[in-house]
Amino acid sequence: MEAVMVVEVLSGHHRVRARHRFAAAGEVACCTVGRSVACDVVLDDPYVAAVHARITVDAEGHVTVTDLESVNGIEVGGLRRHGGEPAELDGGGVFRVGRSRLRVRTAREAVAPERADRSERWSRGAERNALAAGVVVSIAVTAFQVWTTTTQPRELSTALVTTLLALLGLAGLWIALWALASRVAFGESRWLRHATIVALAYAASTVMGGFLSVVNGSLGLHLPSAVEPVLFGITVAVALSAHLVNASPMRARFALALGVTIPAVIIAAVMWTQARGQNRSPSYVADRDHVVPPALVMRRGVSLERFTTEVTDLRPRADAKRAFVEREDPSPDDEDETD
Amino acid sequence: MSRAGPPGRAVVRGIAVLLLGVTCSAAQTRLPTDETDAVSQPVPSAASASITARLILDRVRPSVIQIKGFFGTNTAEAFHGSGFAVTDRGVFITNWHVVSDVVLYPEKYRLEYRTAAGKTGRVSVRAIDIRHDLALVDAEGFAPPPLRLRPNAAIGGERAYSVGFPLDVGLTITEGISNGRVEDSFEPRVHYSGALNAGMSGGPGLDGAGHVIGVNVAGYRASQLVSFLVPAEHAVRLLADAKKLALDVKKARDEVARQVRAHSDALLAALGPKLPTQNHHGYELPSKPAAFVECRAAGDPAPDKPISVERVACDAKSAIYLGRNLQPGGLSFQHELLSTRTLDPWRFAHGMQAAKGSDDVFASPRHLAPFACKQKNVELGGFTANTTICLRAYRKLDGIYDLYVRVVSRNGSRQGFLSSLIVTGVTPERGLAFAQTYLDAMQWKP
Repeated sequence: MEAVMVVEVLSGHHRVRARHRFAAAGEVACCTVGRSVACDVVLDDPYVAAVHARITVDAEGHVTVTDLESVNGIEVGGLRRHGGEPAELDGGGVFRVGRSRLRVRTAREAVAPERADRSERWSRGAERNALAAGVVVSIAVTAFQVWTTTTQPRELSTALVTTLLALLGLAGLWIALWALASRVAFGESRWLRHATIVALAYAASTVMGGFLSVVNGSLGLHLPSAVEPVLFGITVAVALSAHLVNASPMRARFALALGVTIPAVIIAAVMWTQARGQNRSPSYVADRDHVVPPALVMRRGVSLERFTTEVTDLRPRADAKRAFVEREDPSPDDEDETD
Repeated sequence: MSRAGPPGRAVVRGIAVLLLGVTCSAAQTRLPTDETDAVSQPVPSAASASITARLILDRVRPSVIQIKGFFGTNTAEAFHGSGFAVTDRGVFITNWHVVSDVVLYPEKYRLEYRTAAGKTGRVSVRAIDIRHDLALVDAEGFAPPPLRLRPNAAIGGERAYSVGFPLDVGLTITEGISNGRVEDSFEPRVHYSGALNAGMSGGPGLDGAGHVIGVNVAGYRASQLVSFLVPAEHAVRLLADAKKLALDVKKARDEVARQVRAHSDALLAALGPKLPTQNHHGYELPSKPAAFVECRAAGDPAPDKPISVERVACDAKSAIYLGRNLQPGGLSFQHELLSTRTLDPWRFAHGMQAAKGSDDVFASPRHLAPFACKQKNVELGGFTANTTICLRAYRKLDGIYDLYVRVVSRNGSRQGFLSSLIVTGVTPERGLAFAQTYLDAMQWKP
């Protein structure tokens, strides 16, 4: 019968930095831990003695750790031990030597069943393709927006370059922050992943905004003003959740909850503030229309007679607004007109 | 209006400046210089004119009072104007805008009079005529001989005089020329080419015989010696209707609202059932509907603008003063015509969208409630337009509303227009009917 153990040196985030396998044909296998090159597991830790501890495993997988008269001793199950009796490691097999954390795995360890690999669908190749698509769509939509708003041809190239550079700078900064968070959490930056998230989210929000405006103008829908910020909020929530999953050790469901909650709270606060001001202002005229080229107008308007019949309900609605402000805002400041 | 502090833009648009209040400084109504005196050379004899002025001033002095307004228990005045006796029972006439604060906020303001001789006492409001900016007041314990009113007698070219208490410097007479009735004005006015300064509101405008031809009311802020009097016949009518128009202080706001409604009804009736139009880039749009409506057109002459813009703005100059930031009874509309030779339909549509943000429908939240609006694409005369109609209620005046209409054409790929109309202090029924008249006039006739 063979006694086998694997000693893993862990990082602060429980990632394995080094792994050593020990096997003995007899009943017992053992190894020493310390700073000395004579040890089986060598640690670069100034709080560890030259020969600090011995780890022993028997053929049945029982593990014990013994302090070899070091100054700092060993820490097993939250208790610090100095010399004397060997300490038995419990299920997790983790103990501390100096400021280093070690884990001992044995043949007794239950091995989780093999996990089905679904990563092929989200391979790095696909991720690169998604990034490329997001970047192309983002640049195309931004260029179209700049072209639409710049009516002087001589100003187009300057406006285009300035806008794209500004976007690139902002996106780069955003990606760098998330990459830094990933580096801290997992020891890898995941640049590609965060860049893909940003590119897809920006592309989705701009395409959606433009699409809504065109549909609104083409069909004369006059959608409620909340539709666009809500859809934008959903896009941000998805992107933020994806960033959090890839930049923090939290579980996916918590990341999703946080990713939804943050934009929802911010957008709701902004919309509430805006609506509050609009519901009290006598100068605000809602405009839910968007002018599109006549060729895109798909729907005829109503007749003037029908429209003038429909507006007869304005009086009770205006009275209701008057009652509302009299109740909610009985003595507003009489501000001067501002230009 | 130059009552207190800088006026709002909408008020400046009204041009005429009421003359109440010490805050209307000399800088706003500059006195004539030596050079401008030289312009008034047609007066036959300066010496004889001065004697006439002296005689008139001596005659009217006992009958003219200064009316002062006080806020709360303050002894320092909040505003002041003038008034003159029209009966021998202590009834005086003045301007509505001199007493409006007391009528609208009786719990906050009070009125007192002061004669040229220094006698003082309380003043109460007996009747008001908001449309013509007149009010009848009772001066407690003071009943001087009345001035004689001379209705329908303002003759162009006649020597005229104005008396009042300008800038709180004591009883003053100014000398000028009556230019008769103002032709293009919704409200009847006598054009007086003489100085009227803040504080002279409500004082008498007189002919060479000392008879009242009008009541001092307003002057142009940016012009020299362009002033206005309310014709004397309206003072006569108010005096005759004083019982009918007697003011119940507890229902003063109802009476104010009623008179504003009557004013707006008269204004819309004067515009007729159909509006005249003018063709702009193929669009027939409402144009100057009556002589008293002032229309101005402007545009950017720069030749290389991708989108050419022309603006036509019309104003009936009919708003009546109720208080600071509260001038109902007005009507104005404007068209903004956009066209391009170089832009494609997509970018031109974007230019139209951007131009929509420039509407000015400012109102004080103290006086007006928010708009209730309806917006739809509507088939007008041969073209589709995105149309918005809104109403907002006056918070303290029952039954009157502001109407706002916005129209954005949707048929032109390289030309289009944005049009807006605002009618203030109108009943919903009359306002919405006028909105239909306004929209009905629009047609596509390339």
